Amino acid sequence: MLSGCDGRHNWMAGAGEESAQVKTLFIVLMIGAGVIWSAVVGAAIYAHKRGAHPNLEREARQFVIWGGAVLPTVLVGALLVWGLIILRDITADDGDLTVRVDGERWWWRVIYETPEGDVITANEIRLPIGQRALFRLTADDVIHSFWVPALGGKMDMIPGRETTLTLTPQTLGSWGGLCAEFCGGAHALMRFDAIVMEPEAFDTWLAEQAEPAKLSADNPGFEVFQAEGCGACHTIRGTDAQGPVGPDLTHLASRDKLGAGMWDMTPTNMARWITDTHEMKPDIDMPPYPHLNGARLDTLVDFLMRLE
Amino acid sequence: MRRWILGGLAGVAVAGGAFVFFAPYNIAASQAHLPGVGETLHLYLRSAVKARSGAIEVPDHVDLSDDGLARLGAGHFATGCATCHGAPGIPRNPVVEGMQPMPPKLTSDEWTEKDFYWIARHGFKYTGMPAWPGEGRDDEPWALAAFLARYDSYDAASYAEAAFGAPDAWQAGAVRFGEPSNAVAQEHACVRCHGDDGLGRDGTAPKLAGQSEEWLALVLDAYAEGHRESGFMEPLAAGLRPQTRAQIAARYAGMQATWDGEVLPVGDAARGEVLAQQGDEHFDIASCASCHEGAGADGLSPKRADTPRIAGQDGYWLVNWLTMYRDGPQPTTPRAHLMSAAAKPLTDEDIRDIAAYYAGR
Repeated sequence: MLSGCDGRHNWMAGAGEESAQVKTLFIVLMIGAGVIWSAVVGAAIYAHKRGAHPNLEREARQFVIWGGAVLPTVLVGALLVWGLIILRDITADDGDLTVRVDGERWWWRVIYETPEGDVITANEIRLPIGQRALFRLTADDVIHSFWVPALGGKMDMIPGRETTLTLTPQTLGSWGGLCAEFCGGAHALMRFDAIVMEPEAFDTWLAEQAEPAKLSADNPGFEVFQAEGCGACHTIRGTDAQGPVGPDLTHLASRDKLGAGMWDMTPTNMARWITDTHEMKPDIDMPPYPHLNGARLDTLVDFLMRLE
Repeated sequence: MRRWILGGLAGVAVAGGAFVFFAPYNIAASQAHLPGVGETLHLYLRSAVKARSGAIEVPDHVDLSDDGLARLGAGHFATGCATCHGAPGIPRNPVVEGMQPMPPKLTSDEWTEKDFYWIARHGFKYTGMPAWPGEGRDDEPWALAAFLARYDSYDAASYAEAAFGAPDAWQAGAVRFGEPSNAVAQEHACVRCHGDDGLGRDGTAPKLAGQSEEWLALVLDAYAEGHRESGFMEPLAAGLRPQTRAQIAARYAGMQATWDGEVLPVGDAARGEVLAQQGDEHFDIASCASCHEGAGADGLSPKRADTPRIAGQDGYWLVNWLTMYRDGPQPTTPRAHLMSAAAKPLTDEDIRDIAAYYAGR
């Protein structure tokens, strides 16, 4: 429970319009609940002290009808309407930019829709501050749930359906995102960073992500990558590696984290990810490559760390 | 009442203990069974097979009337069965005559194909009949079923032709007990199924000619050392010295040949091509081509020497191997888990489609 108070994942941080709306709703709800609780307890104490008075029966009946039926109905109804309005707003099908996110076990395929075409990346979402981002959410295998607590959400991702959610970030920074619906073995390790940037910086980043990988023609690391069969599952745009299964690695090293929001993007973690994959993230489909070591592994890691 | 029951149980226990300790029933193989005992045991054996073989289904890629499959069965029969059961025109060693029960001389009539499969796969306790030597390789005993179903049609020459590749390849004088694979020279042990030209004797066994030396050596070593299961290959490879295995690998790798794979009647090659070349995002299927193609004169050999060529291999073997990698027994060679990871998401249909595509290339 306490880990929920970590600022990056704190839904009360109010770093986005949507989470701020929910926060307001929550605060009103809590204050209202406090007032009602005090009134009910006060009435109980008063009734106890006063004792039984048969001639007050009519008064008591009125009290039960108004205080026990009418008031709760009105209050709960008002809260429901308010909640539905918020739900309508945060799922409204329009935004300044559109991002498709496909939930996979146990990572996120991320596709930015741009006028020039789709820009594919994975496991990291960058957003321009103050702009409303529309997320179109799908799931490839089982039900997942997309949640960036500090910005807003959450919303289920359901196989065979598309759900929508908007996030309008108001505070710069790197916020934590996670899967909020149990989806199997590595569910707790299915995370991502949602990084809120200045609009200009965001545009530059998106333009870079749209580019194919910049590789020199003679690249021993890429040869290892292909010889080990990595390209059967992973795509590096601009090369022969066109595997559709795993995360797109074209700009892998531009991400802050490795393994779907789990580990810092460092050469040490990268090497360990390749050789001890299932130690770092149990149950995932990527097989480990424990036979890779020494210079060959270094060459591969060096190559991957240059995919910026 | 309670006392009677306890007394009865104690009596049974004492009598049972005495039976085990004094062993009045003579189990000497030199003695015939008491009247009725042998017949009852045999009846039970028959019932045990029939009760279990009925539920077996012949996989759709297995054609029990296929000559190649029957030849493979004949080859394995020569390795593992003929020592005790004899073979058409080939007598068995007198040692076998002392067994009780004596291994029967076989005939096609007594059992169905599914019975033969079950017996070859599982064997019989207390009789000397072993289970299939490739633990978990459920695909393999079908060859024996195909062979035994037409067992009665062989004479000495046609059996020798089927099992050894030539009518005179077998010398009756070489019948030895316990060393069946030595009855023919070691290089002949390969040739009789894989062929002189390494092209698998027209669908009897996988094509080896021109396969990479490193891969052939790796697999042969894996069979010899128990890292890869196969009832056909383990009994043969286990008897080979390491340098002999290396020589065999070099010999087949050095053969020049064009592979013209036998395509199964099942499977959609066009769909297989899409899966093999592009993989599938939704079903998490990795592209086969990215490891198994890309080198060699025709571009259809693998880039790595420790990876097999599959283009032009017979569809039958591609189906069996993909199924083995998916369902087990998984080989324990260093990179086999990568292939298992690739095979894991495949359905039976995917496997047949991919096999159809590569067999036809």
